[in-house]
Amino acid sequence: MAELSSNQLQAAGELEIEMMQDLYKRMTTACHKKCVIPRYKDSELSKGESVCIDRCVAKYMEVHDRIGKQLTSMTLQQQPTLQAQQANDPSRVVGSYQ
Amino acid sequence: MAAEEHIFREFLETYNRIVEECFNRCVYTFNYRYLLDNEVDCASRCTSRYVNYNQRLAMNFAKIQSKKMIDAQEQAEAQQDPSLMVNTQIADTSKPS
Repeated sequence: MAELSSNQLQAAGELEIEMMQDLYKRMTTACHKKCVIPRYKDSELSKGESVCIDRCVAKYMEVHDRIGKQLTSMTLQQQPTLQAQQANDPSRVVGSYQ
Repeated sequence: MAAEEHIFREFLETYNRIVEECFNRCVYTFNYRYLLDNEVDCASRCTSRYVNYNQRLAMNFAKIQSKKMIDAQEQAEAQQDPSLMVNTQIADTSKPS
């Protein structure tokens, strides 16, 4: 694997931070929808809601990790198929009359 | 390099979107801190289906876009020289079948 230049590393780091922010934003929306009951008699979170929020964050991060692994393996699986497709591309044979 | 980064960025955005969608659709009990087996299976099926959905959508989009481009090209050529259309038709009919 080629070594990344410092510029690329920096860009990758910034990208990761941005994606973490996006993840955080989505998680906030998702867990709010799942756990916070839209009944506003009280300004404090109930015990049930608090417990739910704790578990929601744990579950969301676990889903994030599992799907990440699955997507990585799917992408790696598709790569040899894609390479084979490019090798067998019929448009490449044009011009090599035998 | 910019194009590669653009593609990678899009991949990561799709990844985050998948996580959100599949979490919303598959995880609905918060009795435990860990994921239940059915939730894990649902999430993996949800991911595969979303990826297939994305590919199919992209295929249809590309088809329609290319057809639009071809139509626009033909229109532009016809506007530039309307007599071109008539000439080509005559030339075609004179070709031996």
